[in-house]
Amino acid sequence: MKGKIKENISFILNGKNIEGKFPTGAFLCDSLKELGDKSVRIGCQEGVCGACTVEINGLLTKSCLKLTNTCADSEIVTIAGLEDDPLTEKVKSSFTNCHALQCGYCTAGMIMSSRNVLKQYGDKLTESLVKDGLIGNICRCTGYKNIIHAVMHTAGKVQSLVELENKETDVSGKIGEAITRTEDGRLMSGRGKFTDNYFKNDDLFAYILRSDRAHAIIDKIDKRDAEKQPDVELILTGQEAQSHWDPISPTMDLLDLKLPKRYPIATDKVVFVGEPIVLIIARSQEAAQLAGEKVRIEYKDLPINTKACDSLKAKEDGILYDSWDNNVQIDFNFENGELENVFSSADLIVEETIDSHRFGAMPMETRAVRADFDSFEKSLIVHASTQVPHQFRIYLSRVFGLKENSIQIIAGDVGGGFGSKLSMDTEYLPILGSIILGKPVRWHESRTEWIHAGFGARDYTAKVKGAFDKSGKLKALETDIIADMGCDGAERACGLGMPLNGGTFALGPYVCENYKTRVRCVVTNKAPYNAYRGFGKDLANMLIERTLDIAADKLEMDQILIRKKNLLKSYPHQIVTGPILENGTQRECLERLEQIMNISALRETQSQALSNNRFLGISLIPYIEPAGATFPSSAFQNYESVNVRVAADGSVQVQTGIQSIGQGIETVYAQVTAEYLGCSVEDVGVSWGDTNVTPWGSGTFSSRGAMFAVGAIIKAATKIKKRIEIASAILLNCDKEALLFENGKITNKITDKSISFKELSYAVYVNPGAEIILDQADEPSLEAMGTYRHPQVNWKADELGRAQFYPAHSNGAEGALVEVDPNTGDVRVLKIWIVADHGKILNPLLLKGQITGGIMQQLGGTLYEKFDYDSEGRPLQKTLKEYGIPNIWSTPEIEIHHLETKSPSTEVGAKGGGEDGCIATSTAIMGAVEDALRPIGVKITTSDLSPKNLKKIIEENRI
Amino acid sequence: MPISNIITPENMEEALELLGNGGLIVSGGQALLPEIRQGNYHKTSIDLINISKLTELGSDFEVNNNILSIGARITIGELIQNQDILANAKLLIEAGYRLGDPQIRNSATLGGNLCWGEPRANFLIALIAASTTIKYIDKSLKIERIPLKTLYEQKISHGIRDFILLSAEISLKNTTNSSYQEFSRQKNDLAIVNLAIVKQDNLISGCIGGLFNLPFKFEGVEKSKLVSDVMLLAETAKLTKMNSQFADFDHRLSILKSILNKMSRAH
Repeated sequence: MKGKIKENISFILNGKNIEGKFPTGAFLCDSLKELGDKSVRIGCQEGVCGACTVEINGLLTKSCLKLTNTCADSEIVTIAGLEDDPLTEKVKSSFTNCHALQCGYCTAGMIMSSRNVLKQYGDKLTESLVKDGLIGNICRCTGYKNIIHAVMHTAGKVQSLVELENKETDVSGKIGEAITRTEDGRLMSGRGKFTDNYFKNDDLFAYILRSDRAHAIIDKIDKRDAEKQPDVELILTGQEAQSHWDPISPTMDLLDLKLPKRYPIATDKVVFVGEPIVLIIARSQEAAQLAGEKVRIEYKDLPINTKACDSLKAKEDGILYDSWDNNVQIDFNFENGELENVFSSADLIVEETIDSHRFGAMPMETRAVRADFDSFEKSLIVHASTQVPHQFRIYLSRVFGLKENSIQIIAGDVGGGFGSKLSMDTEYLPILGSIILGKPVRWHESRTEWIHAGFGARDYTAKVKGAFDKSGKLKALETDIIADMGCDGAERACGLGMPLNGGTFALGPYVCENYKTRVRCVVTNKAPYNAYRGFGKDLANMLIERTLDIAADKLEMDQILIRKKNLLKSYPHQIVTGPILENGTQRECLERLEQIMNISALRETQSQALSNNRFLGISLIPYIEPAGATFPSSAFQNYESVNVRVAADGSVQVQTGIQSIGQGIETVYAQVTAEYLGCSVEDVGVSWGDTNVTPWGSGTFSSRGAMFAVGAIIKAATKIKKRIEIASAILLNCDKEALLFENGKITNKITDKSISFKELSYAVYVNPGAEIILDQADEPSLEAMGTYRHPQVNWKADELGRAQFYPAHSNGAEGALVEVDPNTGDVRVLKIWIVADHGKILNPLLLKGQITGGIMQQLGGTLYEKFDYDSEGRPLQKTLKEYGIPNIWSTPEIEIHHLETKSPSTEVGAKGGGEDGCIATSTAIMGAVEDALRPIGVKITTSDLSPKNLKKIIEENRI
Repeated sequence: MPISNIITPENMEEALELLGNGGLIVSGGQALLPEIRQGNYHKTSIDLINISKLTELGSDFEVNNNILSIGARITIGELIQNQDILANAKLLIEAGYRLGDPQIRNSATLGGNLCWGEPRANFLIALIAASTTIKYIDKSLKIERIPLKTLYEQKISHGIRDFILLSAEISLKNTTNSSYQEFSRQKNDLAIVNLAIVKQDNLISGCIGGLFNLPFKFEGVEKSKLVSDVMLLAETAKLTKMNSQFADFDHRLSILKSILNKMSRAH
């Protein structure tokens, strides 16, 4: 046809002329990756997230919405082409000095947009202009606050956060100092080690044909036409795949819960829309997809359960799994005390049904795998986006019957996890393809696949019943929780612990001996249910705090006063369900926050606003943050090992099974190592994410790194330090007591003679050698493994069936100020305050970054995010935009303060704080919205405060 | 991807023929390409018509007798920086800044926004409120002028098969006192409800998006009765009501009332 595009096009990429032929419908982001540019990230494929932002002819552009074949004669610039650009370098410097990045997946795009807004406005830049300029870039980790600060810092409007933080902190030594992150350099330059950066141009492509039915028998699969398609290497159904593997290895197998025993591809029936049915491997993504369109599937529909309460009653065909007699995955019960008596004699009984809707982690990087199986050696190398590489290897070994020592998992940088990458299901499929074909296979999940077949969380309905005396004292509490597991919460995902935590921690920091809980985890025809930041502590907080608010209203008592009346008074405090809160500052946090918020002044503002028909609301609640989860019958262990080695040049290598997902382990572990070895932070390198390099570790979850990895580092470093002291004393001709360690230099305090780590290490390794200068040491090397087991864990149940799975309990108080428009149902969170105690702070900048990110995730979940299904079990959301992830304009003012109560059982005293912000934010917003709507008497019992739902609540209340 | 061809026609005749054969016009692509990527076009193959070489398609601004002509290929980024618009058509500036983000605005074109087929598209609402006339070329290569509202109702909402939009013509005296507002879950999400108004003397005309399957235009409402009259018109309109996962129709009416109240106070 006339006018058809030329086969070859040329453009300039980062100053270099590119000439090539690209597939007709290729998008620029994909072409840039194929051309070797590793800086462009793909997060949504719909022009929402901005991770793929580049400049075309000087204009900021989303390369996922640009057809490569329309870029002829253009000049394209990515972050990789801006390494010598002074403004870009200035932005990068601000980003790192303001901790404006965590996982780094969005960072290249974020810097491109920051640069653009700085060029546009220069000295005239304001926070509003920054937000307008960056509204097209989504960040899931940081909560945007530090990004805004960083851009303002580049413009010279504010001091860096490192400066501000260190001004506030009196730090001695390396631990506790706000230092910038080691990992930032590569992430800001677009050199992150994300899984898709390991894809190679001749890899085969995996495409997964998924079910469009929520519950159905697979009657027939006809793949004959698909097999005739060109470039197709393999088409496999679930039945055909069965001879190659065993069922999915469960992530949790505790408390006699029922497991579905499913395969990664459905074999005989499907249980959710999006469940894999056919695996197609082809020489291009397009070929695989075209083949997929030719596959014909016939189903016989079964009754569909989209609500847990209905699924509970399902019978026969409505039961998801043939070997089950109902849809309850677990029914957990606990009771202690004299409930009947207490309720019958209570002055006040409050009863309510509280629910939390379905939303989830939604990391910027979806799941990705590159599998390379060597058929001769029977060895497998897998690059994958996971929080738990060593667990991943266990599962692969079990499912494929391969020896673990022949499997290498390389996780690299992970573009956000938040709990959602603790398990694996679809990841098995490209690996299966590689094993069968003996060739490398790649798979990068689309955003729609994540939304449909990825993981949901929350989704609880709970009845609460509280007994109070006249003074507001809580005398008894009952909780009855029904949680919607989707198709499964323990085998292909591990969310089942969340509702159990909801029941276990529902008494929070309050004293009450009479407690009863029932937790039913029910399977439905939805996508699996996985861990998500907060892990049920959010539910626990919501149940108790909302109950106290209702009681306070009925007793006409101040809401803060009722909490003070019931708060624990001393530590250690055992919650009646078993967990022991070791120490903390629960009351102090609440009182401090009350002071900081200046409640009486806020009440005055609220009253004035109301006279102008503006509805402001305030809330203030305490919370606990159990951290460092360990679970029996799972690979979530109560230990972590770290290997530390001082090399012959004095540099230090730390190897850990904790996975980097943006939390800054390269930096914090270097700080701890440097402190305990006496070297400089810059001399410490941290290795992670490779099962062939690192000691076995459970991985990253539940804020455990600050306890487990740090504990292991200290153990290893302490062993080495003793050997260094022996060697140094010989080399400096003095007693060990005369040695002074400072930033990599060891000095004889008497003679002032000193040696460097480099000199000392060379002496040990080479001249004169360990046999001479370490002959008095326990071992003649500068390498040691440390294994840390937390003493505050107890898996042996007592007579009431109680155990201690969490070793540490951070605590805090959170406040919210909101404005509500009752006409539209619109909620604007104006400010969030937190006063928290996470034990010893390792790096305040990074800790605040974690909390801010958590706040914004839970705020997003409360106001915008939602997984909805129609009555046929079809997801209503398909895109990131529809799902509703918060953008930069949704960031409220956030103020965070800290108290520090060292954990009694770790040497440093850290407790962990990665889930803070995700625990109390929904409850705080719910309380504040109810407070705002008090003049019209609206009760808030749901976390779904989207305009649609809140308007519905308001209207129902008016009726 | 089901995109099987990207064809760059050299002239209008060829472009219109391709269009008639089911091709889809791509200019900025910011509305079309996400839809294709999401599989919303249920076709096994799609021919895209790249209109970059069609010189007849406007890519500039012209003012004659106080009529501003905006070429269909003008990007939203260019539009919101145009001095005539900045000085005389506040509603277009406000509509522009609420559209997407800087990256999207750099590529998205006025023509694309109007031809998207989305009855809440920012410029569709703003330009209908401003009683805009559209210049287009039909399959007989005849250049026609027609009110945007009519074009949308008669052609765009049914899918574009037999014309190519060339430019939008607005009387700047109509837009001197004008405003655009929208309600969305988050700033710059696709609006749940949007409203553009122009005020002349004491009378207000406007257009509402998000209530019905078509933009809803009203004219000659007295300023003092803006809220009550427009609400009555909206409540009694015989059009297909819009309901979605984000708001049902009654909620949309409440949102409209809230926006009208704000606008009423501002004017």
